[in-house]
Amino acid sequence: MELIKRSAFRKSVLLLGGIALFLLPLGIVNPYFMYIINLILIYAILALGLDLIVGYTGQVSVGHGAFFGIGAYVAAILAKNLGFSLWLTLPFSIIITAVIGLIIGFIGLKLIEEYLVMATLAFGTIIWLVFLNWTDLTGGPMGIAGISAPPTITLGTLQFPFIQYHDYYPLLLIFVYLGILITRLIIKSGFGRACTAIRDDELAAQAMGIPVFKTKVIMFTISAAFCGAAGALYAHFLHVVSPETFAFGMSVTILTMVMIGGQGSITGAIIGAAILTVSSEALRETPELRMLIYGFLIVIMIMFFPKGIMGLFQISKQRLLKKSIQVEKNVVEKEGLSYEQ
Amino acid sequence: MFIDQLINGIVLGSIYALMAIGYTMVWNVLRFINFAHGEVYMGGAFVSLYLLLLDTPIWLAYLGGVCAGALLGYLMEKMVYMRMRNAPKLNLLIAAIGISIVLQNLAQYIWGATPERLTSPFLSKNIAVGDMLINQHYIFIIILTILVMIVLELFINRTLMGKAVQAASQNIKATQLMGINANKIISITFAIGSAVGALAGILVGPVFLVYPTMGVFAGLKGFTASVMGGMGNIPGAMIAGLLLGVIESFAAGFISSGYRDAVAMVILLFILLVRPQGIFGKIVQQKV
Repeated sequence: MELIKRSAFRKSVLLLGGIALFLLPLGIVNPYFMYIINLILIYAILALGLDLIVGYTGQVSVGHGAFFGIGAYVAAILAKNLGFSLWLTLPFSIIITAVIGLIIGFIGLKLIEEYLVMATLAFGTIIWLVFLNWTDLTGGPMGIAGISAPPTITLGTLQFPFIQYHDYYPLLLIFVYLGILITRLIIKSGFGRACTAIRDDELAAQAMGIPVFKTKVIMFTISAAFCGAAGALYAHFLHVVSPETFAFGMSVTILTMVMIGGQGSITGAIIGAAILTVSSEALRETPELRMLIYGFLIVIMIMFFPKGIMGLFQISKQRLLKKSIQVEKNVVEKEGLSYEQ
Repeated sequence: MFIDQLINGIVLGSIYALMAIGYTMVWNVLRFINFAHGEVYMGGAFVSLYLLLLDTPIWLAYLGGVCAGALLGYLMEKMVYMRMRNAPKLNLLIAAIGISIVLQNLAQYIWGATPERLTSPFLSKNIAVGDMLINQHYIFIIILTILVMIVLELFINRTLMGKAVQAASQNIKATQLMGINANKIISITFAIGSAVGALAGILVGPVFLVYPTMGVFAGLKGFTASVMGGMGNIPGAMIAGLLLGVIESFAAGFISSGYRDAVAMVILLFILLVRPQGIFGKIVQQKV
């Protein structure tokens, strides 16, 4: 009973907080801050997607930047050449990245851990080189500029045009919520539990009758689709895509977000996205030292917080638990003494 | 044209073979891909360049670069990897990538991003073979690579230290039980692999210029060569490196130069799919 009350309380707090977040732009005047917050939201979708395969299924990919890029380029090309709006390019981006994810997953997931890392690395690099060299379609090193903003949304007499960064925020926030919702639905389902079983012990999972390979491939496909969606949003948000955004560094950034936030945690993925985006933007003050400090941050965080920020909370929870057990013991011992007296 | 491409390929391949050795040796003892190895290649070249600017004799400058590379590898292992022995492999991977970001940007901060040419005593001279001219520096690269490989083979197979490295590659725990200081062996492995990697960077300097991101693709290709040769197989890595260089050179010459870097990646994917144990590798059963 107590537990139900507590979870109901938690749910209502989360719901209210979630709604309150929509009001955030009212308090922020500086468009640059709004831009950073929007970027965090896009990265959060990416990190959630990668966490599905890395954190929940235990398969490491260093090629998800390529899926992000494919999503962005598909949206850019469709918007530019065929005049599609976000509502049309988004499904296309998702479907195409999912199909490519399915193929790559089918090829790569037969491999054991380290070799999967190599295969995804090779895939990511090839895709990046295609962006760079297929000039007719992708614009080569210049990329594609002038991607349309999403069409104005009309609700009755209210109109929501997309002009400033402030206008994009609610839309991106809705997509992040959708991402969180889908992630939660997946990981609480039987399929999601099969994935965590594979992560914890692949052989045992197989012995329990889980179709290991199929489960991994499906999760990889979903994870790629998340990145595709983020890509389409990114293209329509920044109005420009260029190949260097989607180089190996992007895949690493997304993976680092997941690792630093804490694998296998929705909150962790979002915290990781926020930390990396903010620190990378904050370091713009010192452009010549920016990447240097950023690299140092990554090394130090991974050395000293191997389980990420969420791992810290787990540790403190365990400590609390131990402490409370110790307190109980002490009480029992003391009372025992008093009985003797 | 054909012979030209072949020679270019062999020169490139020598460089990849030298790079592959570093990946393979580290893989052997720690079962992890040292993604920062490309930065050792860059670091060695930059230190030589810097020493040359200080009017150091050219051979001393080359030697200084190689030593700096060895030191860099040693420090990486001592300061970061050694402290993460019990961490999951994924954490090591991220740490390696972090180190590579640091080193690239450190080089850029110190020496700037403009590509510069290392001097070589041979670059301006050619050797006539039949009716064609071959640059002496190319011959120098090939000869030096062969020498390094012979020395390394001798070291691994004929010296006590080399045998300890072999033992550590087979089973690091058992090695420790036999009274061998495993951490020392791992440090030596890093130092040797990095010295060879730095040498590759120095040799390339006069041909392809020196700049902070020069190690990125060289690293990827050295790594491809080590997979091709069978991860952990040193002679395999050497042969595969040469093979990769030649294939890439022909593909770039006859198909498209824009996609020359993609060739190695396609080969990597193909090898992983068809023969993940490498061309020369044996199938190892996954332990339960």
